[in-house]
Amino acid sequence: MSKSVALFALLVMSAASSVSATEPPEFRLVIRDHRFVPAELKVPANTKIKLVVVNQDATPEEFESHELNREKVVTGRGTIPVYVGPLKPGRYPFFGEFHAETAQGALIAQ
Amino acid sequence: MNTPTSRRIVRALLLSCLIPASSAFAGAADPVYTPTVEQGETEFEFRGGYRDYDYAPNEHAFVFDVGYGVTNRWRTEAVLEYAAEDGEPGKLEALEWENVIVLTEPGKHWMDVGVLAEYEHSFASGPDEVKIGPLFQKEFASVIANLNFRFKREVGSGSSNDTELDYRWQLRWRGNEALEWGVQGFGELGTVDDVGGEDWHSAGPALFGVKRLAGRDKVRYNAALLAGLNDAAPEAGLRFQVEYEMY
Repeated sequence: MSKSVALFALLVMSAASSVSATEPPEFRLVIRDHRFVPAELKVPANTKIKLVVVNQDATPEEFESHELNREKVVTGRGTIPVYVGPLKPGRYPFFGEFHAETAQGALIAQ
Repeated sequence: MNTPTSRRIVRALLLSCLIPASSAFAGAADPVYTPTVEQGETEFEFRGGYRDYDYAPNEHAFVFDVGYGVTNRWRTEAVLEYAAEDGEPGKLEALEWENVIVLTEPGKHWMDVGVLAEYEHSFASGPDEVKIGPLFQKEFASVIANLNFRFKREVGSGSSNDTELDYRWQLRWRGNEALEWGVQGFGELGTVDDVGGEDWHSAGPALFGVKRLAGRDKVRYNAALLAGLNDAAPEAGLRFQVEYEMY
């Protein structure tokens, strides 16, 4: 079993060693009254970015986007990071799955 | 005696001996795992698979699974496995406790990494089994690539000293979320002391999709038609996975 554990550790370490050392630029996205503020957020194209999603509501929300391949729950009054990109220039819609009738937004990569 | 037919019979006998008696059949229903978890999500999953062998009885398996996303980094699942092979009655094969642990924040690093850890209690008189392995995910523009390795080791009375290694992979082209296409592959690499010694490999086209229901519920599915890539592999295989996700 020790060989398999060593091989497993090697696989994980090789993956972890390939991480990027620098933090990407941050963009703040607020959830307030079950809406995203701002509803449209301009971000640089061809660059990985970090969205800081701040939920000011008391209820949880899920940041979801098929186009961005992200689904992540943010608790009431909670904050989560969402890393996306690099994105080609274009419009990438996202929504709050728990209040999809109002929580709609988009990243504009340019 | 050393004719092609006799060699084929000998090879069939040898290869059939490689199939463990208790726990391998449910492998026909194995999925490809991703290092992603949704907190608070309850999922009911049904999956199945069929493997057609030219040197051994064909296998089919069905799995029912209930899982819950405890945090954004940990999902735990209870899995009930049913399996059968041609000529034998089907039976409940095992109860499994399965856990997916996300090690890296999705999208933060060059590659996303997680761990799959399973404990399988066999209903047969044989030993139980511990399975653990890394889950990798990498996005290449509109393609999402996943690779799983899994180390399997029997535990308890009568257990083998061998640790076996298997793998799964998939490529999924992102498009319309209701129907996307891709490729999946499954295989075994033998024991860690002799990787590649008793290996088999299969791959084939796959479909993926999500259907959103009223409220927050979703049905997610994927299926693949697999072809054997070497002599030891199943000639053909078919597998599917359907998940009902709710909050």
